[in-house]
Amino acid sequence: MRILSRLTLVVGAIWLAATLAFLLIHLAPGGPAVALGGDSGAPGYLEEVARIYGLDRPLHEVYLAWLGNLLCGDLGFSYRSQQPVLTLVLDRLPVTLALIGPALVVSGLAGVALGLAWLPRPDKPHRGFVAAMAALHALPSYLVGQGLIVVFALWLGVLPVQGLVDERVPAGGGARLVDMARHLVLPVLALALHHVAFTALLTRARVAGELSRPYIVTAAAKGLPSHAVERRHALPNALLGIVTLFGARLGAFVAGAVVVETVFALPGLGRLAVTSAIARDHPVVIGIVLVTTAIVVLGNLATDMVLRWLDPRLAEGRS
Amino acid sequence: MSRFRAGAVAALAFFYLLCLLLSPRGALDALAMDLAFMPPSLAHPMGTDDLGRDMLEALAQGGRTSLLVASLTACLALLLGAAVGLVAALGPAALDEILMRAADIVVSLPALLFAILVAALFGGSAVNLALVLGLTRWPVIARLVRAEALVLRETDFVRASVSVGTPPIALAVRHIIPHASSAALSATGIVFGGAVLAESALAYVGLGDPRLTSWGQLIASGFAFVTHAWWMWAFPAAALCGASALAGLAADQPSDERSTG
Amino acid sequence: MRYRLHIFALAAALVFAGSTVAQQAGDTAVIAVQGDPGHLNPAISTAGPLHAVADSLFNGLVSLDRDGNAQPDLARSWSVSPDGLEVRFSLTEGVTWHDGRPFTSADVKFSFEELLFRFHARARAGLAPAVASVDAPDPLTVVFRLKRPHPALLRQLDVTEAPILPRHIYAGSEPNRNEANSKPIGTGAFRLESYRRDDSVVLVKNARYFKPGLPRLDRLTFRIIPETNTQLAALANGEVDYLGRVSPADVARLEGKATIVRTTAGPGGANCIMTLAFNLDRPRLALHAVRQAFAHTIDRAQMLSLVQFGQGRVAAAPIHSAISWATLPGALSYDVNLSKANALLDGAGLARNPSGERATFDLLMFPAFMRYGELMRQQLAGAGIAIRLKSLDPAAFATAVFTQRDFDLALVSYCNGVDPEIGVSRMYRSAAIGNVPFSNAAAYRNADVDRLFDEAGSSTDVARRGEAYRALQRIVATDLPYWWLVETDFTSAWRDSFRDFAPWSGQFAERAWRSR
Repeated sequence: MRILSRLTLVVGAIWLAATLAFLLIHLAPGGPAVALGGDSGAPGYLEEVARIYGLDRPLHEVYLAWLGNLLCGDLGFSYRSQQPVLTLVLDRLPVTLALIGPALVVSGLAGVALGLAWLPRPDKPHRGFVAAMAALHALPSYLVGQGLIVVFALWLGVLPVQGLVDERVPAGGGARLVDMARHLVLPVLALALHHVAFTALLTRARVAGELSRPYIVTAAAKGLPSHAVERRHALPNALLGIVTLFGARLGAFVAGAVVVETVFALPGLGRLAVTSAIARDHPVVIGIVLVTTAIVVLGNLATDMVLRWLDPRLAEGRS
Repeated sequence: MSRFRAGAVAALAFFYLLCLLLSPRGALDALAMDLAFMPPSLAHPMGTDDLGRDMLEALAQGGRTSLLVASLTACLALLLGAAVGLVAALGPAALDEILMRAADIVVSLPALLFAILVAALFGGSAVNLALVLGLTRWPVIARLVRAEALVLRETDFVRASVSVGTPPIALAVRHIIPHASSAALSATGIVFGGAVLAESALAYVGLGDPRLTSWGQLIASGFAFVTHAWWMWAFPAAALCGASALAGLAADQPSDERSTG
Repeated sequence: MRYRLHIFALAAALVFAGSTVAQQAGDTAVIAVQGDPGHLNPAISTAGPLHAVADSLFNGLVSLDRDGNAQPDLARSWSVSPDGLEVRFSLTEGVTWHDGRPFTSADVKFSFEELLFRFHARARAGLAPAVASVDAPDPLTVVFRLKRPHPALLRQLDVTEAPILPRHIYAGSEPNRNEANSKPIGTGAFRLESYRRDDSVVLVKNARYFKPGLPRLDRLTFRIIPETNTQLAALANGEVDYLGRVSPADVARLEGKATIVRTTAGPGGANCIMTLAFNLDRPRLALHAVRQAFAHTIDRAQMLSLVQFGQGRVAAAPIHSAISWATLPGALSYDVNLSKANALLDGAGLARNPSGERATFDLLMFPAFMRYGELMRQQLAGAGIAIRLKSLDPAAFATAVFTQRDFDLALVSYCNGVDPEIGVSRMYRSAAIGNVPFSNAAAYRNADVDRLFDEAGSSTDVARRGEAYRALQRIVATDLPYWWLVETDFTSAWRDSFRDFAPWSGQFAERAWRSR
């Protein structure tokens, strides 16, 4: 039952994103033909675009055709690069995944660890820690990125500044992979720090919340030491909520990639969204919006299923 | 902790008032010009920019835009979120189910990418940005308001007023809203801080509002002189981080936040 | 695709990392560029980011040295008939395309007739009108027959102005849609290895290049790095070897750390003057006194120091000072004088309203010129002139200014080229008003000026040409259809271990080498 409702969520979110994109295209100055085909100025060009996308039909038919095309995986055509949008997006997706995957892991682990280390105690509320995390959470990632470049690349000289590979390292083999990993360290950090702060504060609040619940109080009354209470009872329960919320922030990671990929000159989805937006290659931007929506909802679904597998109580409806 | 939060809100409001007071009317061109690239001094506490404009005044003007975008976003999200949350909690169960499902769907939309799409189609615009962010962030608030309202509905004084026939709207206005406002405002703080950062991210990648000066834009243009005139980006960056951090502190803790960028 | 496989293998590899020793590849130069080239066909576009990359893949009939003089390239020699109406080129023998096919005069004829004269904005506007025909009497001879003597011809035949493309690839196709635009076949010193959009373009040495001993580098990698601070950090860190364009403010950061070369020519064009164009169709701007008031109000020395950081010169004449035989130093003798400007505006009937403003004008420009616009807005406020800044991307700018003519003021970087015929006459000739991008933005008409351009453009005698250009500069400096602001220099920088880059030419890396 819950899986079914999660599936309606997946379909619903993608449908809503597609519908909003459709509305925006039709509201845009110049109309849908310009929005989808660009204004090349060639005579007859816009008529051609209108014909290809079937824009001359009644609006509801255009809309159904639009949804139908998306359903078949046809995200439109990029006039800037003369390629199907889907090809373009799938080509960039791995770079973005290589950026946000490690960032998710790093910020999850580091955030939970920090949050546990600074749990509020009656005698020590750790307001300084809260303020420090709030400040870290407030730092824009382009500032963090430029700062990391100055420290780790220019002062310490241990990591590269930009790109995904060093052309001078021969292609293929382990050396290229190590090289790629080195290139990803700073971008991953620049993306992760914001979320480390968020996760730390969240963990702290959630675990503290669990600790005040009756069963914990009982456990403590039975004489269990406080760190054991935290680890054995409070953390697992709090973790469920943390992971759920963390999964919901996948979209924020993709959004962060927009800036981080610009700073570090990485050819990922975020960079593609910006260059396409500036070049008015709207079908590509729409494609990225839709693919990102799909990633977010599928990521949530996966999180949900993993959690259910970890904790069967959820399947019984207690959440 | 609530004094802590009230302090943060007050500081933010003070910040905004300061911006209003210090920024001259009209656009940046109304600023008097002095020597360019002057480091901070008594005459210009934050130095001057590449065209000799006083950075303190520029900062105040940028703050007006940045904080206004964030306030608009937060107000829109708060209004929508509170309305949806109250209706969900006090209305029929079927409506509750539909509204919360809708909230789950809306919150899955990538807000910043939608903002990029809107900027591409309609040109960079501060108001459009606030609209996009506000229309995608309300579920955060709706969820909290609903949760609070559900708890309050079961309390004795609410039951008592229901039994004497108080209509749901009056009930909401008189009892639920005052009590749920703390949780709602907390989530609004997070929305506010997120909007400040989102505006600066768009300005940084070149999709900001070209007609307005904002902190994000000041930082982006100051970055062209990153070593030559550090004060051109460092002060706007500090202001931006400060405002966003204060908003975060006003929220106190990330409660049931489900923001997706 | 290559990346994707690697990334999926990344996690596994990290476990077994550290066993392979990095081996030194051949001499590679990594070039940072800010924007993606889009495609790599230099004959159908004049876009700067495209030419920065694609010009290394092709050749022109001639190449230009640092002083703008023609040197042999695909043509090894040339001769001009006594009446100046026929120019005969002997082509270099043994040139082959990257696919192995021989290069012949048919390629040259095809490139001009089917590509350059139709799609290359400057060749179409500045060269095509003068050319009656391009003939290929035998495989190694090309003859340009001209309608009138056209002394600038040679300087319009380098790889940036007139790249030669292969006929066997493009014949019978729609040039804008040909697949070779992203997999180019050229004659150039380098050939394409790979192109990943928004990431990098990799070129490798053309082992069969027709110039003995060249190129000296094995590979050129163009890295697309949008953020200039990242570009500079990458140069400092040794990841990037060459920056084609360093912004004036950043030059000081590289001082002592890299080889810095300032030239008046760059990938975008040569001898550029930042120019304010008045739309003479607008009644208030048609008033001579109003334009004079602009000239007395805009402080160009301040502009040079604040915006260009001194890298350039205040324009002393309508024609760029580097074209020394044609320019007229001292032609622009308007001092910065606000009281004069205010008196002129009062006299023209533009009275101040209660808030002190006389008039509001829209100033259109590219986003990159915003700082010029902001500074002018500040300066003009002193004379009660309010400016509304509108930054438009290049395509929208060209449409608004040259097609719809819906503007008051426009800020244009007019590149004069190495000969006034290339980039100057288009600004003033009455025939150049209308729907051609970057032509006569002011819509200036003066029969004497048209006549003097005809005279200068059809003579082969440098002294006579110079006289005509100086005469017409006296006229336009008085009429003020434009206000010439500053001559802007280009700055390039590269790591000291490299030598002999030629930043003034499209083929900037042809002779470059790396010292050990």
